[in-house]
Amino acid sequence: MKLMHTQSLTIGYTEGRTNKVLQENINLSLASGEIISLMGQNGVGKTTFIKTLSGLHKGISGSVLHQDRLIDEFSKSALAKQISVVLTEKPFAAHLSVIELIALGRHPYSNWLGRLSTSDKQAIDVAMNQTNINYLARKKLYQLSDGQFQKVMIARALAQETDLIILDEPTAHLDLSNKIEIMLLLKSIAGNGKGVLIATHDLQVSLQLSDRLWLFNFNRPVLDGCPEDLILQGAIDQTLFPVNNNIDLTTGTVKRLDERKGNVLLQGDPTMVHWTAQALQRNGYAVNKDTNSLISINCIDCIWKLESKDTSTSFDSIKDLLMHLK
Amino acid sequence: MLLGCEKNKPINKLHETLSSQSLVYATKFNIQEDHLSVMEPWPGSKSAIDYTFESIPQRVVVTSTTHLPYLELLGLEDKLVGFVGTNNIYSEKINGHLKSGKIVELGINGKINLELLLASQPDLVIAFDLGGESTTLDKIVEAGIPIVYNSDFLEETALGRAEWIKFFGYIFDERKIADSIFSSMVERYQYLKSLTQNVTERPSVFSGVVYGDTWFLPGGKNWSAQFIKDAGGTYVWEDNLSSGWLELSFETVLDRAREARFWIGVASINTRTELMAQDARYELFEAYQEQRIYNYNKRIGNNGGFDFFESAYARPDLVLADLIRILHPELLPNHPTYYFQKIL
Amino acid sequence: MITQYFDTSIKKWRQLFIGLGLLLIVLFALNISLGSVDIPLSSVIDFILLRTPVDNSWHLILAKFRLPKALTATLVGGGLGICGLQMQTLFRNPMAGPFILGISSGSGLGVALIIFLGVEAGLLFELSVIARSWIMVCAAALGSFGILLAIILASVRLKDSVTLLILGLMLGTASSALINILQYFSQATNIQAYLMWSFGSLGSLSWNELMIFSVIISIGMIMSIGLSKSLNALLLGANYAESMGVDLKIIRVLIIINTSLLAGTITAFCGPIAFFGLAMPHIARMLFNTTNHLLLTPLIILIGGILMLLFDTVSQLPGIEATLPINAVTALIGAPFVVYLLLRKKNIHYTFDK
Repeated sequence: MKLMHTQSLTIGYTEGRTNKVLQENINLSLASGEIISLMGQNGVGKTTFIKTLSGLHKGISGSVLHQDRLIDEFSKSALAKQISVVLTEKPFAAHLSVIELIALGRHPYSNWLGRLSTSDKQAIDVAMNQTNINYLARKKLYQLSDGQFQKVMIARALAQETDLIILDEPTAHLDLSNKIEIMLLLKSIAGNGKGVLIATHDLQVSLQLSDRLWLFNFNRPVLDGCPEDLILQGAIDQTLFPVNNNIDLTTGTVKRLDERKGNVLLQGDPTMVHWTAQALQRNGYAVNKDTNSLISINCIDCIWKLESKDTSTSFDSIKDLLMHLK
Repeated sequence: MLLGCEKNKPINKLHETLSSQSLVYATKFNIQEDHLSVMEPWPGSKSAIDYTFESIPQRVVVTSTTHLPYLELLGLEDKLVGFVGTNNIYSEKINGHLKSGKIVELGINGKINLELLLASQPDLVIAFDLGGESTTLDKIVEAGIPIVYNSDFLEETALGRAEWIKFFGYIFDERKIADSIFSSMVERYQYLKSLTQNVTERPSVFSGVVYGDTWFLPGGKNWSAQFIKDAGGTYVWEDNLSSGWLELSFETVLDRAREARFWIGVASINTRTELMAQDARYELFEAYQEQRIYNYNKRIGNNGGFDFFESAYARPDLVLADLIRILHPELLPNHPTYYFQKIL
Repeated sequence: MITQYFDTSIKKWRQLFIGLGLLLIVLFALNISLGSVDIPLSSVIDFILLRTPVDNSWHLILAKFRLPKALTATLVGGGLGICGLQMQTLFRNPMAGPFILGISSGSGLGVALIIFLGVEAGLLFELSVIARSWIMVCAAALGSFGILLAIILASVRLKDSVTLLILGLMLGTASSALINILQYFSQATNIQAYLMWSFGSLGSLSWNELMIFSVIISIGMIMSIGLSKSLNALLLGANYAESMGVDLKIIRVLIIINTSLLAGTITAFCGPIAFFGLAMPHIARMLFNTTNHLLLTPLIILIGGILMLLFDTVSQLPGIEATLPINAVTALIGAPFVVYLLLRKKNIHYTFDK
């Protein structure tokens, strides 16, 4: 079921009397259970788009529809039951407790005194269970780490019980283990039937997590497709790295910084080969299967055997190997 | 100038022997053979200032409405060329001079405008200083205009204050007239005071109004409080030693003065309705309920100036007569009050 | 599990509120027992138990002075406190107070105009005598609501809260400057009258005035409780709040109206009472370690009343006939108290810098 779609939507902002258009004629849609990543360089309109979708900002022309109803037809309160957001902003006062913050997600549902009914409390419970933060319930916001804070903000959005959750850079500033946790969390949220839209710079997140990518470019139409298609089309390269095309998209690494030092034939255990190749490439060697290479390295059982011309040496670490090659 | 006539007034023999050099009541100035000394030119000043006058000043500037009655009593209002804050003056005569341009406004509401002052070319300024900064007055001296400090407000008795007519008398060489006016006034005052010596009842009196949470009223030794005793009354705070003003809480005043007979002196209030509008709790006072409230607002000019604040200091006899009329009407049955009237 | 958390939480807070309520009653009784006039405790107890004959002087003092003053203090303390809270949350500024939008300067301007220009305006009675004429109250109220109107009109057109803040500061400064000019051209008596007004006074309301005052303040307090939910949402920022269904434009206007109603009315009846509204929310946040407006609002209403009663009792300087103006006491005692709390609590986190 289409949770959200746009029709000829043009987004931007108004300065005085002129409209500054960022993206025009956008026709995109998102269905429940889908995770979509929105990517593009800074300034291309990602945040504006997100704000336009969630009703925080007005589009210049065209329309946004949630569950086939125009966004303008929703009352603020009704819209809040459709979409919840996780932004990069920080709250004003840090004395709020985690559970109080999550309870804020029930704002569209609780009565004027803020009293929480049983269903409200249940929703909070579910949200906290899903994000695995029960142990943080009584903590104050200033006591949380970055990763914990992010999970709390997601829990709040979950407590709002909307079909669509929009997140702006949810994994920025997070260390790797936290990032992975968030990714898994988002996956399970989508698995439960919600639609998830993420604006992100993070290739790991977009390539490994998303069902589809939306790519925003300057002065070109929006691209919409499954990540692998877009990679093969070179679209990601063009969108994200128009200047520098030296990125290896499978590993996210910068390809071949410097290839002056010659070729190396590398064989052996696949995992060892992979990381040894990385180290060699970093040091300027091209790794291939050319049997005419002057240097041949065989890696098995954590021993590196280097054969060049007539010599044959063994090393028990990549570091020693590299030192020898220098 | 009518000083009042009562039948069977005893002749005061002292009148003839008063010499102009002995001041009976005033302590803050004295007159020597050849000079005038002001003992405390401003509050807290440790040294007296002596003044000599080579000639009679012809173009005088005064700085307080309380200076004007002395000039008028001595017939010297023609010598006045300028005044600071003319919108408060009650005196008809002086207002007339103001209108005709003979007297110039020298500064609104008490702030002397130096340029206007210099332009009016005075040969004497009679000034007063409350003890604060006197840089303006210093500048006037710098400009070559003589200043005389009038500190009559530091006198502790009503008659002492009124005796400053002799200060003006010395400056303008009208000593004999000043002496005679003052002696007659003292005579009358003492006569009035003697009337109340044997009264059986001395009704209690309180004064003042509340501003916000604070009630302002005269201290026990204040100029206004002394009259009450002489008029045959008892000021509720007569045991207080301050000659200034007291600031008390409403409840304190209510506690001591709730049953006082008379309420005399209510600032700018003119009617009981206004009193109620200011604070409904005034009705708790018996004096309010029994309609025995009096104020010094009988003589107010068109510009809002109170004659009481202008001339009462020079005419304590009139003030005393009024108060006796209020507190013991049977002693002065035919006397119309001058400054005071009942608040209705 | 969460339900459990909420239940214990509710129980804890309920006990706290009951405790505070009792403390309020105790301080109320203390406040009416002490004052310039020494009234023995037995008489106070008689009064409370409605036993005294109506004519007794002490009974009059208790009934006509101390009781209305205590009620005023309670309402003023709570009212100013919640104003401060709302302003701090709306503007995300811990240094905001109820008068940050220029309300007290506007009031002062209204009063100053009446005092200083009263004679010129040809009024029938010269108003150097002040503080409890209805004209004075109306002038103060009109002054503050004038500023309020300007702010509301601006808030509908301005999106940015900080801009609104600057506008309020400018209006306030302009009003103060006008007051200075008026004072410069006035007589000493009028200047003193204005000065007396600016000292603030809790004890000058009659029962009639107190009735109107309490109705307005009560409405304001109920409105504040109703706004608490949205204020909580605002803690996360304008974008989050909107995403949760808060209509920012309307809420901003409502908050400003509510604050001005409370602060303007209090200033009109009692003069400008400084510092209290700014300090109260910080005291409450530090003492009870919460930023939840649903809890803070009733908390501040109670503690504000308690503290103001305490300050007023001190300002009466019981035993001595003199009294201190309430403004002096709130600042003199209040400021060191806040400093003490700041230094004692080591886990103050105001800004959310991570």
